[in-house]
Amino acid sequence: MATLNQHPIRLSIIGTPTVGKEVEIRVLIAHPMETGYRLGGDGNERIPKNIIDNIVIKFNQEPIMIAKLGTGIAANPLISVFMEVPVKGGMVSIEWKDDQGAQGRAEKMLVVA
Amino acid sequence: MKLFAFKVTIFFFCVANLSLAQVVRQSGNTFLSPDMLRQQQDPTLNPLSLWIDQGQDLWKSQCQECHSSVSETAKAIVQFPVWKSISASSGKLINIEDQIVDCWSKKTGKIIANDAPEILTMSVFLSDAAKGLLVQVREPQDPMIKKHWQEQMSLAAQIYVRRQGRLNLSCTQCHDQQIGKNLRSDVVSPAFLTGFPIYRFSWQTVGNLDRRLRACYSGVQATVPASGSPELRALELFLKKRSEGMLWDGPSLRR
Repeated sequence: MATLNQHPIRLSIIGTPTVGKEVEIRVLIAHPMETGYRLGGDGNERIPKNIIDNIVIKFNQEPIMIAKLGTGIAANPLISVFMEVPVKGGMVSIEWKDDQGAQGRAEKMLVVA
Repeated sequence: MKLFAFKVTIFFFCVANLSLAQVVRQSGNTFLSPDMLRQQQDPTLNPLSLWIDQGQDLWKSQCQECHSSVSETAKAIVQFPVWKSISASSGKLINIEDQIVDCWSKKTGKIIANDAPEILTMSVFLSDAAKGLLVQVREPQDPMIKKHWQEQMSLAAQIYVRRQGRLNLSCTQCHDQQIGKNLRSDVVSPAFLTGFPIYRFSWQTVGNLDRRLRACYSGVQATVPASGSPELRALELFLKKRSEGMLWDGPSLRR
């Protein structure tokens, strides 16, 4: 991990939110995604596994995507989801949790154009 | 016969054009795949934006008191490295990260490595703010400093053409003579310094020029100089001078 704060996060909504059309929800999370296979220090010890194992993207508190990530995902993962814009807008939020118990969340208002 | 001569003339004309085309200096971005270029240009896809966001916070909390304007401070990005005199006869070249380390130690009383997260974050932030400026490495006016500066330039020019490592390769053999060809699955780009620090997917993080140059030394299986060594600083000066007048690309994505 070479970012300064532990886990900065960027949530963006791509496209004009028009009712019945799709928008893209993009999430960029700063996370080392340590596989647990690498050797650190003097080469005798394994660096402990630390993977974001659970990501939930919610719309108005209702899950629209639940993802289980594995060791194949690179550091600083980028996740993209398409959703249909409902009649009323609402709050898009994301929550994640990793193997070592660290958590993060972000939210953004989806305002219908 | 006349037709043949005509064809030969055309052929030489084309060859002359090709060699002219190589003289045009290209930024490393020219050699990115369209997908990666798109990822670099879109902040919602580019992992570097995580660093830029944090740099903004760091700037507000640590730097703003002394440096009033980001755009003024960012001009240093295209002007460094510079010669810093310690006494009349000695001194050293410092790059922008050394300068940030210096500022950091004045501000907090702690000396940290030039690739510490704080330093890289600030370097990425300033590099982003310097986007669109032209690289401007000026020869110093002061005759004493000018002498040291020129010594460093000629030292670096020698390193650049010196064969080294078990592969017995010099920088110029790839980065001037084999531009655009494949080196394994990657494309060799010319050695111009217009977009550092870089986020490399193979590193899975941000790294500075020292790390990139050390990887070059390791690639030709030569003795790798320590991070921040005078050899690397001299090379940085030489590469930046080669890129004089080119557009600064800001922090960049690489494979």
